[in-house]
Amino acid sequence: MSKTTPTCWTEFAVEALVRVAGFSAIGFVLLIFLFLLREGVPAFFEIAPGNLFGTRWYPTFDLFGTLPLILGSALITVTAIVIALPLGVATAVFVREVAPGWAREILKPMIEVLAGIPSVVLGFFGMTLIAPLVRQVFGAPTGLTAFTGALILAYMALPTLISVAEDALDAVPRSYRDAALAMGATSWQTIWRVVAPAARSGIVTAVMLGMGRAIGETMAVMMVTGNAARMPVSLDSLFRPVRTMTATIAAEMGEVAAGSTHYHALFGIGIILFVLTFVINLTAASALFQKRRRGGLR
Amino acid sequence: MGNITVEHLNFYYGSKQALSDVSIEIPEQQITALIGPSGCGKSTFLRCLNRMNDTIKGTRIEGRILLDGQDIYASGANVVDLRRRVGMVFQRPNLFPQSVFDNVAFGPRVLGMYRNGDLADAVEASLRGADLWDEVKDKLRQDALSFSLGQQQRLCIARVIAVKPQVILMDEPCSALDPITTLKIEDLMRELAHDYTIVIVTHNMQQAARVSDITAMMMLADAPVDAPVDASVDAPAGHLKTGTIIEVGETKRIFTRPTDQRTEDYVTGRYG
Repeated sequence: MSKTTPTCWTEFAVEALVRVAGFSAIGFVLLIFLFLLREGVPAFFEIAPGNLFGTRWYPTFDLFGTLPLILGSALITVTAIVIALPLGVATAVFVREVAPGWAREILKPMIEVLAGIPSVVLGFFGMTLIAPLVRQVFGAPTGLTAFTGALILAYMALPTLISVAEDALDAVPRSYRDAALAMGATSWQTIWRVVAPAARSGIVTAVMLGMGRAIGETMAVMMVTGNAARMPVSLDSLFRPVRTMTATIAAEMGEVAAGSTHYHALFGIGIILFVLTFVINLTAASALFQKRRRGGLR
Repeated sequence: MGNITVEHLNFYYGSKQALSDVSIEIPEQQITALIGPSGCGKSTFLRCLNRMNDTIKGTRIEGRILLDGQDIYASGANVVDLRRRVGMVFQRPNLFPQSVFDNVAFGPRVLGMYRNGDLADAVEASLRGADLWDEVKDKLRQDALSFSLGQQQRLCIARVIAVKPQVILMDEPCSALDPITTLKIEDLMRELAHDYTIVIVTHNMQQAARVSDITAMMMLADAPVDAPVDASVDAPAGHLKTGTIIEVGETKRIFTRPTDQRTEDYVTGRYG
């Protein structure tokens, strides 16, 4: 008994430590959420719903219409995904199915390095290089547009998208490829008609994760989109300045009076953002779940 | 159509020789069974016949394989066309996670066989050919993976005959199936043999005896002295056991009066 006691004690201590660490992670997320609710929920009472979901965001004049911000975020995110999806899937197909072994060994770490570039660097890059280019090519009055933001976001979503899509392609059983090849399908027909469709749910997950990354991005977006809170409803909106939810919070939080309606409104935007991200992640998770159930990961 | 002649075939995985000096005549519209112990190269040989080994890196062959007189490994030979003419059924059913219809229509679609909307008729004909039409005609839109393994394997056969091949290779097609289902597939094979040349690899000697016209006995053996041995292989002499066909003949004769002692030992169960 006396021999085993010290082991028992260290065992117990370690277990307790790990447990506390694990639960604290959940606890902190919960506390953040509660704080967000405490600060943000009053906005939904102080501001009339017509105003809160109106089309004009002018806090100075007590106009807290979040619609242009939500639509701004949506426009940039969706455009970014439209750009990133074909590129990302094509890259994943290339890395997994086409590239020779040595090229794959070089490409994979490079793609992972892309994910590590700080967003402010990308923002700077977008401001000084992409924005003038967008202005010239599309004849926009300014280069700081929704499209510029979408380009940068697409670039930021790519590494995640490629890695997850590549894993999905990798999980497609070899027997599918054999079956297609043995019937006289070319390797391209095999990839596009058999392997890619079989990896579809994984690719959906990849898109959702990329989207989650894009919608929450702040710094780069703030630097390149011009930040004008206008409703992006006209056809040329893509090539006009736009303002996102994240940029609004980041730009205005520093100057707002704590406890004011404006302050609560900013946290209200935070809640909306939180809910959106949550829904996107949930969709991604359910796609992943569906894939497991269907046996796609065999 | 669908006559295969193999002449002095050597096959290598990298520097390791797997088959040596395999020669056989596979007659059209008959069932040829390849029997022999595990690891003697039966599947490797089968996969030479439709060049599926090309998908494995570092493989190489010597010798000739003629399909209706044409060398299938000749430079400039069309692999895609070869694989349409020489279909393959694998050990385990490997349907795509798509509907029954899309699975059977896959080959005709990628090969662009029906431009005028006759695809549905072709799918029906293939399913009838595999004796499946009555079982699945109301379930064409259903996920193919929801069917039983036996039905899936017959769907694989339907999928292969949809591209109108001349030869069907079967790599232990019944090893994942129960005896009743196995008999069903064997009946189907007998029917298919009216129209197609069939080559089947099997571990099951009763199956070979029941279903085939010709039986080829394969075994690991010392490479014959006159066989061209790859100079880059520096394995010590005597270590070089490679797969080869030691006897071919009418199935009835192979099982009753084999000429090779090793064949006799194997078919009577005294092997090993």
